[in-house]
Amino acid sequence: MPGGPARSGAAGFVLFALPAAIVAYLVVPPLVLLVVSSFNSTADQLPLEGGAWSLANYVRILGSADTYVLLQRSLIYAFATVMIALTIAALLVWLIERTDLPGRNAVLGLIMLPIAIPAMAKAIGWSLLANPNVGLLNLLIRNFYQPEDGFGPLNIYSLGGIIFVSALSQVPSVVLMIAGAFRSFDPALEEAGHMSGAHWLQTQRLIALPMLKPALFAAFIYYFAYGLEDFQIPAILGMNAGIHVFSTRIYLATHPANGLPDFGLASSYSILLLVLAIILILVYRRMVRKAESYAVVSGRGYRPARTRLGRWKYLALGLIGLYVLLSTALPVLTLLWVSLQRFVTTPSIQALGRMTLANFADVLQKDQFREALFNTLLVAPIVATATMALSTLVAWYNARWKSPGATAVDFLTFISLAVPTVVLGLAILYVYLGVPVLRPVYGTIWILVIAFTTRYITYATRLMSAAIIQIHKALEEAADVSGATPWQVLSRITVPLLLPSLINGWMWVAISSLREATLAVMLLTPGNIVLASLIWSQWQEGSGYGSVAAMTLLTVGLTSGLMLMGRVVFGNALTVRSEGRRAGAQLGRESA
Amino acid sequence: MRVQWSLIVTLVATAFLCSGAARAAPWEDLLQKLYPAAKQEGEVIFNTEREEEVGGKEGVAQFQKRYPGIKVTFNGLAGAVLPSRMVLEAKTGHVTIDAFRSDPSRAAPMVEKDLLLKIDPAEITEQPVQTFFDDRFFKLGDHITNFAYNSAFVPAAARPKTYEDLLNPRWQRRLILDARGGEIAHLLSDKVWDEAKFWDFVNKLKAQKPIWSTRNTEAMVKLSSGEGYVGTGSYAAIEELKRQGAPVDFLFLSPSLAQARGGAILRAAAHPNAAKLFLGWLLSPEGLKARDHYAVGTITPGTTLYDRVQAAGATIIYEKSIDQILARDDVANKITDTWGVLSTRKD
Repeated sequence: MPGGPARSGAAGFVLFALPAAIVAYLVVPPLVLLVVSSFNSTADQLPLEGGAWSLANYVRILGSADTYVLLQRSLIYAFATVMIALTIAALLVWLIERTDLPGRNAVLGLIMLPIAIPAMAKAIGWSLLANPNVGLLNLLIRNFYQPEDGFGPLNIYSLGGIIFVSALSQVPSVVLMIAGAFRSFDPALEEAGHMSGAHWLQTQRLIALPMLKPALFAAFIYYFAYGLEDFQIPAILGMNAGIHVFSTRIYLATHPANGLPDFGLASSYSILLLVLAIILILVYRRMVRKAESYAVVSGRGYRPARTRLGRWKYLALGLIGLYVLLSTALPVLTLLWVSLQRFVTTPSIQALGRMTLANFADVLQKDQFREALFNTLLVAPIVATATMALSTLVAWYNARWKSPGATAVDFLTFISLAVPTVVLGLAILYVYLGVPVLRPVYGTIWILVIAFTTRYITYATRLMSAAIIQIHKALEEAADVSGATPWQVLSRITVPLLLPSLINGWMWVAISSLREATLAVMLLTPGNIVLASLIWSQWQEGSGYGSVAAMTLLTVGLTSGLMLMGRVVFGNALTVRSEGRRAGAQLGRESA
Repeated sequence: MRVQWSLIVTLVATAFLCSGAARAAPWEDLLQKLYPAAKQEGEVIFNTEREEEVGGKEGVAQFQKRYPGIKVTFNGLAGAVLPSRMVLEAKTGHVTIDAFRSDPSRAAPMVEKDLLLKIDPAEITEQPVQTFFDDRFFKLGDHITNFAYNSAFVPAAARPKTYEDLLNPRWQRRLILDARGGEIAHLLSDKVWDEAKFWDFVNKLKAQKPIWSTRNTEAMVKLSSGEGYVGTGSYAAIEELKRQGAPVDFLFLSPSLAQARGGAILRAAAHPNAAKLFLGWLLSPEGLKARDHYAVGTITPGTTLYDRVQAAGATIIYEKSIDQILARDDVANKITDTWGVLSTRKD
């Protein structure tokens, strides 16, 4: 904004300096610990325990051929996953936002369903569906086609299998990230293309795609970086097949069969990820340098035009059905089956007769489950609200006030994604145990709030950046010229226009907090158990998957409820958004 | 008169019997001494990956009924992160748990940093008890890990009877192996086989294209679902599955390994007396019975675990010292490297 925060004194401080300080507080300590730890020989001792400064960790990983195999595999995994997810997501969003597809609201709800299913549950579900020996899909296929060796033909314990499950898992989050761009796209631009004689495909290629490029690229960069760090699905499906990526190798270094974890090794692997993330950020920033040219929400109103699908709608609905089947129906039905059995077994008449609700009864009777549920219901909304507030302010300032400070803060929010979850958990443990004044936070749910906010600030900031870039600066400038304070501009113009993205982001963060197992387990103490840590612990060392499946389904029910609630709010938000645009236009007229 | 005398005799005899019945067992007297201080603390925070390892819900209810006013709170920190977390917490003087159940090798780093409380065994048990690390770690159970099979796919006659039987081609791609190698490491570390025979066996196992697993729970799921027909597993987990009706049974290939599992108390525990009382109760006949229900007790006469081992005619190798355990861990690490599924070996 023209005056910048310096002009506005206390308001400027609250709107910029405070969020910047909070972001630095959340992100810098883990990064410092990561760097320090990577230069310490920390085998058999904990970071900062006094190991000598050394390049030994780097010599070790850079001198090992294994690292380059890991690097190659991690890049293939991250790239393939994000490309598949982005392609599916873009197609789905286009169908919902830009065509006359029947039942678009219901379709959107169905597409978002997988977000409610923890990644771990999807991986377990798919391991039961497509393991080469007795995977249900393989058993079905073998009725028609018998592989030579009697195994398969599907094998979920492969790089292809892991990519498939991860890509399906990422689609809803990518949809959330790019939906705003498709929705806000002014059809007048396409109409201009048509008027100039361009056919539909040309219009999409020459007009729509370039306009959507920042949002698509932001999603690509984010999920590519996320893929490099992604842990749960590669761990469950790949680790046992000897298919390692950086994240699983880091996990193994920090979870040895005996002795103390090798944090030095884990940190130096993490630094490699960090370097990759920095490269991605630089590419991204170069890409969106001229962000204003992508602004499509201006003071002028418009009615979105929709492409008529005609008979193609049946194909579209069929594809959506296939996606819902693979991403939601099959894993959930598998989980349901497992939850209704005392032990995991393939479906049969005999097994049907053994169906029982005992797992659900056991779970509901557990004091730990009730405590975890209470803590989860407390943590998720707090994390979502804090993360969205922080990320909106950071994204807004970065988009409107191009200063090195704003850029640095935005950079920090992105780079935190490159800190592997396991390492982030450890770093947070260190900070909150090591700094006496912060120690009371350790062991409470607040340490989870801090950890989850740090984890999700990257996604939330990218989401809000993509949305803010699309709002023309003139709307805010008009308000500024009319004498509005930064707070008034933000609350009366920007936030109403951003409300759909804000609500989407809030829901995504809340649901992700509900599912976040790795950090919750890393920070687990008797006083802060949440559903995700309880489920993970049971999955790791429990007596069976029955109670894990039951707890997971209860969590899925909870998250689905939250999403339903969000849909209601989302509907209202669209109206508010229109009001925001009207308010902007009004202020624009007044200033003129 | 005769009636009066017989009435008196009956009354005296009844009173005597009643006094005998009410007399507390030695372990009860011993633990009763710990109770007042424990009650003052009011809580014990115990880390265990599964509640069943300390007798489950019923066991804890029994303890709380016997010692009212002491709440047992569980924490489920995984064994792999327990040592580093405890080292970290102790370093900052902010220990969140009082005691834990684990294996001796997990406790070793904590002993190295002098974090565990030394307890006079006579203070918590009147029975002989095996301890490690100079009375800092008390053995609670014999955790038998060996092989099991799915009886729906493997007829009793076809089940493996020796370790060598695992190399039968019929188990190719149907054999579930823990990639950490713990179930067979004792064959070398306890000198059952020589180096050549052992490593030949390890390599031939790999050639069976096994279904790898890294956790006991996962191996059990793969076995009960029929993904694998024969596989590694713990006796306790197999018993639990059998109780639930799963078509699985334990093999007890000879010699089987009984890994020591035990409990320890942190020196910086907030509730050391309650922790001592709980540990003492776990070692008591009542605690042992509660744990025996879940097959996580010790193999001692009178327990079902003991009867089952006798019935199977199994030869058991017990873990008696930390050196023996560390030697086995070392072999297990080498197996992990040989199989190459988990490459975590430090250079």
